[in-house]
Amino acid sequence: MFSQRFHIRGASAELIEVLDRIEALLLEKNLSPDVAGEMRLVAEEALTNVLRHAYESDEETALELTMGIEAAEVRFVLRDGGRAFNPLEAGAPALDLPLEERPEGGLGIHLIRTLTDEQHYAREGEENVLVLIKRREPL
Amino acid sequence: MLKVQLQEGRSFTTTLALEGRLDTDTAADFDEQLDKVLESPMKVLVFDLAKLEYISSAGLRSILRAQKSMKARGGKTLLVNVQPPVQKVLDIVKSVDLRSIFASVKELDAYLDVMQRKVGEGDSLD
Repeated sequence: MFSQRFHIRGASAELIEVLDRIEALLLEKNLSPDVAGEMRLVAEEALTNVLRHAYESDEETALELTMGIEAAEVRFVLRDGGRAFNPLEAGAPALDLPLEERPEGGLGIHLIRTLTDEQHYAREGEENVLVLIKRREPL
Repeated sequence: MLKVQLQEGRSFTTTLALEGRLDTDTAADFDEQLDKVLESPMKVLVFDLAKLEYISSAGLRSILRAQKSMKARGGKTLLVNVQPPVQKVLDIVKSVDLRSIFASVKELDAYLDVMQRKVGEGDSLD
């Protein structure tokens, strides 16, 4: 099993570097370009969601993403020390409403739910812990 | 990284060709560029996505903003040459009316020819 940990302080340039690294590692570990791109998207949505909701904009963040790559799955574990926030409690976006009547937001978490097979949230002490799992197609 | 190229051909149409990624890193700059483009009184905004390899919810919000703004003026937003990874995201969020996505520039041109006649005759585009 392969595991890599990333620390993110919230700056956009730094976030993109982490996403580039995640995608490159997934390709290195022989995941398809489609899956690597989708997991990059999952990571972007999860990280920006935490930065937006668990922290004030100028607050220093303690955000960590660990990516595990196994034969059967790819797993992201996000830990942050921000205020308690469970992104999975957000309702599904109103995709059936006409565009101009839709409330803003909710698209990111909808993408995460659709592109991963399992999502779990827990508040552990002073930390939010979000686990996202994508099962791999058997080779 | 996102490159945006502005193309003006038909009198009432503006085409923006996007290359790279429309994501949390590039969406804010793109919104500024869009705002400038939206100041002109064109009726049809075309996004040529032949070289757009990635879009996230931040990028989707930019496209949705443009759609709303165009709709408010009785105009249209059209997408052409959407690549599979981007199409998958559009499908998941159902953010784009499927009738406004064109597989090729040829298809788009045929549609715009009809629209141009309508505009010439003073009809609404809806």
